[in-house]
Amino acid sequence: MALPPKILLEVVTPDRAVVREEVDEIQLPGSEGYFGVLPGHTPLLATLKPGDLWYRIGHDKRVLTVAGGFVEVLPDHVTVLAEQGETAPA
Amino acid sequence: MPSLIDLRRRIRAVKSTQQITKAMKMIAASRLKRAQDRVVAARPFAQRMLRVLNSLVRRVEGDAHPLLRAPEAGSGRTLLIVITADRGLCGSFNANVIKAAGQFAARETSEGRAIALGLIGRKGRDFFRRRGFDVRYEQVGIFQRLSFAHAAEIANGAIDAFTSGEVSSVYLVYNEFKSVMSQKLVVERLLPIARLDEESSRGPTTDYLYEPSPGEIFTELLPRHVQAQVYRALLESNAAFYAAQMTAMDAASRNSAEMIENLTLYMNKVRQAAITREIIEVVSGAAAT
Repeated sequence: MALPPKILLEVVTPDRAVVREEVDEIQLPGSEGYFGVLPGHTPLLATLKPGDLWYRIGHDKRVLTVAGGFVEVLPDHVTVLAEQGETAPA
Repeated sequence: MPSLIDLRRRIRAVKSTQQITKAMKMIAASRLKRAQDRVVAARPFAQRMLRVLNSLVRRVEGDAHPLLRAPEAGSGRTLLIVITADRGLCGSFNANVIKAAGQFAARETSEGRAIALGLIGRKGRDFFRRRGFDVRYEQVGIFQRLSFAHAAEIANGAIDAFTSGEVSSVYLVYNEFKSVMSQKLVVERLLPIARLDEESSRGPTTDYLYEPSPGEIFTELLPRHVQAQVYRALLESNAAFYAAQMTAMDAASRNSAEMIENLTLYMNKVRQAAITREIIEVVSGAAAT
């Protein structure tokens, strides 16, 4: 199976959708430790602890702070459901 | 017959009332827009949550979690969370909720269950506090700065009462936002969580890796699901409130326009009558000399 070239990252809080972008790589603050996700990751459900989430589009790296929630990882799609999520000031 | 001055004064009074109702309608309309946007913005979160829970529920024994356990029928206490608005001037919005809550309480009592109330919104609180109900908690003034934290607090209170066995079920009563013209009154069960696998039949199931174990994730997610449901109810109620207020104020503005028209017509008649009388007096006075 060919790997999908990119991952669609969605970060959703009860108030709004924070991020919806095609990205190359994501790192998440899992409750059992940080883990990275590249395109083609095996399906995974994990809870998150409060911390920084970063993702990379090409050479552009961005950081979000999320608190409380969980993540659903599919090979070409990552959905983060967080209670709070803020983009870190640049 | 009222004098001309009296009529003028009344018209002026109705006019200033109309100005107020018009302004309130505008404000309600703009707030409604924002409230509606929030309802829409909250939807993806709730949907995804439900989808993930559905994928989990089949991996965990159905009744494993205390929040899913059905109560023994006909016993215990029911907690009813009544969501009204903080303010009035919105037609039958609050009255409908209060009426439904009253009926619900009467039915529960007749079936031998005690009822406890959680009151959200000033109108409901003012009504039920005076009537000797068992009020567990009340929240007033949260709609101005509604956040998920409020919903979490309400939901956690309900979860605590439920898991400690103090209440055997929790219900919500609130107005759901149907459209600008209509609100739908909803009474729904919050706990124990009814059926999660509502739409589990459709969509392929994915085999996930779980971190931590499915059971732990499930335990973590269920309270969040309850919080999200309370949050949705609060947002719906908030949007419905502004819709109801807008409709009510629109009707009030139209009624006062009609009243002004009638009063103006009447005033003109009175004035005309006075003029006619004066002319008759002048003419008959001239004829007499």
